[in-house]
Amino acid sequence: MGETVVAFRKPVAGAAGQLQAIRAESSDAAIVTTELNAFFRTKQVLRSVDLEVAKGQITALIGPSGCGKTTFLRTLNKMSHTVPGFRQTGSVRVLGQDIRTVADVETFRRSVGMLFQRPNPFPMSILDNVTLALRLAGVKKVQRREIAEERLTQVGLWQDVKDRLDKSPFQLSGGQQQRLCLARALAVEPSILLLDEPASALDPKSTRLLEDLFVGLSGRMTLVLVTHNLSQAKRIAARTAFMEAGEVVEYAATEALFSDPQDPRTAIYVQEHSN
Amino acid sequence: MTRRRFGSKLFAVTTGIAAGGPLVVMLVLMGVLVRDAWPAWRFQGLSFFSGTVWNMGNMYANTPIVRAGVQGAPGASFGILPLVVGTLYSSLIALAVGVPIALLTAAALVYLAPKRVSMWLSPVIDLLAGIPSVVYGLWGVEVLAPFVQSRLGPWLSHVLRIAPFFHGPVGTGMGLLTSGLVLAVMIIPIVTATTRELLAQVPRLPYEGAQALGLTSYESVRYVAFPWVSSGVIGAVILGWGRALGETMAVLMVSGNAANYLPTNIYSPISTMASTVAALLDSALTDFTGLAVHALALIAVTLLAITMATNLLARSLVALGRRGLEAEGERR
Repeated sequence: MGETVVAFRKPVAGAAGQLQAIRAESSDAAIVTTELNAFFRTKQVLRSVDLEVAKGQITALIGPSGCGKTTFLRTLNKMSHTVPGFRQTGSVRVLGQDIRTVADVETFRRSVGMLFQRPNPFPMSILDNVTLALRLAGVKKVQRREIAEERLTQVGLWQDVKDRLDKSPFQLSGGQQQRLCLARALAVEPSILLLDEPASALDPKSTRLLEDLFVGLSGRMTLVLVTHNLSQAKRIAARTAFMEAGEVVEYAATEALFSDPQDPRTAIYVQEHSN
Repeated sequence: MTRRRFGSKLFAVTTGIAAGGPLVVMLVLMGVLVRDAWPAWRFQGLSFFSGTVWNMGNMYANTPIVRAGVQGAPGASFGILPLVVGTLYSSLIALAVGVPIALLTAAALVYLAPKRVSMWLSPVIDLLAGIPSVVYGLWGVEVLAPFVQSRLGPWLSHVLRIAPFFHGPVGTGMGLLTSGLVLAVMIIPIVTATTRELLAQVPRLPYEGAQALGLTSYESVRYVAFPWVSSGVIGAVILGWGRALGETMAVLMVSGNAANYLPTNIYSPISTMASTVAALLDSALTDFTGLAVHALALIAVTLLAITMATNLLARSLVALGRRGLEAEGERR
């Protein structure tokens, strides 16, 4: 059953076999970290983090600035590992694979997409932004164009940009740019999407639009959302983890975490930051 | 109160003068050069550019010849086509060899090399840009020319024997290829240093976006970092080209100083405009009609015009390429 689904998707060349193998191995958790510690040189930023992220759900990470939630997120697609002096102990299994055994990090990152704090379109046309990764993966031009239209439609941008696909993305509004970046990430069909405060630079309307898209994507895809905005976590996340000083203090169903926090630190943070 | 007003007025005037300075210098320089070159233009006309014979004439003659109301030494003829060709070809070889190396070096320094390595290497490259050209020239004469003569030339000539311009007698090693290579070595530091500064200014986020999308670091640099600063990089290349076009001493030492000779292959001896002005000024000053010096001034005007034309061409290329892309983004 699961295999048929994979076969009917049109995955990016090369990634298909690996993804299939990964899927067969894993259970209902997309991400499992065990005793994860992370350091930047001598400074410890994550302290024995044990976290299971369920498949097909939105999981939120909240906590004060500098609590390690962004580092945690960036460890999941090995972006942290590109920072000189970064060191990891303990294990991180993403889609069933220990990330330390990932040999081909480029293919791995295609299955774990990411959206950043601010929109970061590439300095090329709107269309090329969506199709670049496909082009580099050897997808044919006609097909690239189809996928681009599909993804831009999916993020609700097609009507706005279909007449200026060859124009600069920097003319678009911030919200439109971020949705373009989402379409760009979706084009390579990731199984997991990492969201690093994706709406922090956007107005409320664009934020809601983006949140609706995330909800629409969950189910087919696993989303991990880092946010400062507690009501955002409340609105869209199934489960929420509260982090402080590199530790996961509490991890529970979102509803429970906000209404009935078990740890006093969670209670204080939630109370101080809800309004 | 009055003192403060006087101070700000003084400031405005001095900064105004300083800011207008380059333009004034440029205009005065061009005015003087053009006035100086004018008699040679009247004497020679358009054949100045198309002629292949440069001959300052019999400077020991007693009676000048007169053409278009300008006196010249008997037999004088000023055609600079070989010089123009030598200048353009050698500078293009320098770009073809030097620019890829410079861009790769800059990318490596910014994106690949560990911080400690690039911290040490970057000042070394800046230092290379400041080495006097005569030093490069000497290296060209003592090391590069013999190498071209005995190794690189024969090898290239054999490997590229189908390509007409690369096949042929290698000669003494002094010539077009050696000039181009010396120029390449000279422009690499300046293009590298400028490009490195530009790449360091590329925002982190788009680059990380590329990485997170599964692009290799080469692809991220090629498709995101370089396009981000494309106009600046083209500016850096023009800077290097300008240096190669105008380089005098080093080329004079390794060019082979061909007189009235159009290069037939990449090993041919050449002369460039700048090195000719330097090499011939001494004897031109003995021309009793003064025309030879005017002709050298006309070479200088031509060189200036070529440099400005390449600049404008590259700039308009950049503008054309950016229309509809980054230009609007920056205007916001």
